[in-house]
Amino acid sequence: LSGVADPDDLAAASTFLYRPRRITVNMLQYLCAGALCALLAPALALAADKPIVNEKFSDLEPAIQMLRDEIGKDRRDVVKANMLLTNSEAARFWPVYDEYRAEMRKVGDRRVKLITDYAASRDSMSEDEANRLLKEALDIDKQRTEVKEDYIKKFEKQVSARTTARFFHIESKLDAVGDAVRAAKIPLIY
Amino acid sequence: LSGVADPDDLAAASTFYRPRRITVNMLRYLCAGTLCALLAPALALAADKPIVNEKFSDLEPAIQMLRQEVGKDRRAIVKANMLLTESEAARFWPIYDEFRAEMVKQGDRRVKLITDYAANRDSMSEDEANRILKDRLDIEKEKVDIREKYVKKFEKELSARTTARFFQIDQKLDAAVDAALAARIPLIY
Repeated sequence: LSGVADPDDLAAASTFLYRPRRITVNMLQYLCAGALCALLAPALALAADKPIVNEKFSDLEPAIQMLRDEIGKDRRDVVKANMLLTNSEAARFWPVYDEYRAEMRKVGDRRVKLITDYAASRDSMSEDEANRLLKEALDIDKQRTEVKEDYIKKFEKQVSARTTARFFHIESKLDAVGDAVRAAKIPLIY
Repeated sequence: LSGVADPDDLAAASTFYRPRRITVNMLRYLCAGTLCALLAPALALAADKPIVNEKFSDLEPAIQMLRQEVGKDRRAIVKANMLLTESEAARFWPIYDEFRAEMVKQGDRRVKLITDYAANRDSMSEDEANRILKDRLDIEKEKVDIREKYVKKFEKELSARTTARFFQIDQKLDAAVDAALAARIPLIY
């Protein structure tokens, strides 16, 4: 893995800029660990009936499950520290947030499957598989945007448009870091 | 700008593995470009449709030049990493240039969005906050739509594997830019 960005370099990318409400974030280390693990050999089956990891890597399922839980908690802390909601806003914000992240976790499940399918077949990929994986990658991006659109409406019913915009801004910063880590760690197809 | 990721850190995000590894320093340009876009960009491709917030229109020529520079560097990285045969190259590059031209139009919307945001951040109305957020997601969607369209076009001329490899490289470059933007654009008050 030489030549790969150090997790700490990328953590800098999520430093929330400028006063007011600046925070230093070190959850990115977890994100990086998570993305790396996802590449090397992740596994996770939320419901037993629908495996979300390529079977070649199923032994690592518990580890990736734990890491994702950890990242989810850290992510919530980063949001909390940066939103600075009043008590009354918080009471309306967090239930929607938790519902939203549960939806995003499903999107993440698809991504874990995609990455492990890619890792499993990268050395000898058929034309059909290359086409399928590329389409799936684009579909996942689309789904992520659609979930966001859904939840803008839900958040705006509970908090102001500015507070909603601030939240999705923080979200996109966290996503950008996750995406950059994956981009750095996932090797090109042969 | 203390606490901001150094452009060189972000360059690491686009390191490509063996085989066909390349060291990339174009990210410096990209970062300079995004920084400029935030501070005060401007660009009007056609004179009739300004793509930068009027508050920053004096910086239009600078951002225009930077974006052209970035486009050239981006092309060089793709070239170095695709390693196409001559016959593949003859079919690949015309579609690539068409694809990037669409993406530049899409980038225009993004420049407008960022400069609108920079112009209003201190005193943003509820309506403006909602409009900017929706516009952002719209831009994301448009990007996926353009990609889907061009997956088909590339696959008519090249193998699915070569197409997948190209979009992987393209995605790595976008991820580096997005991370640079994320690091540089401050939160709404």
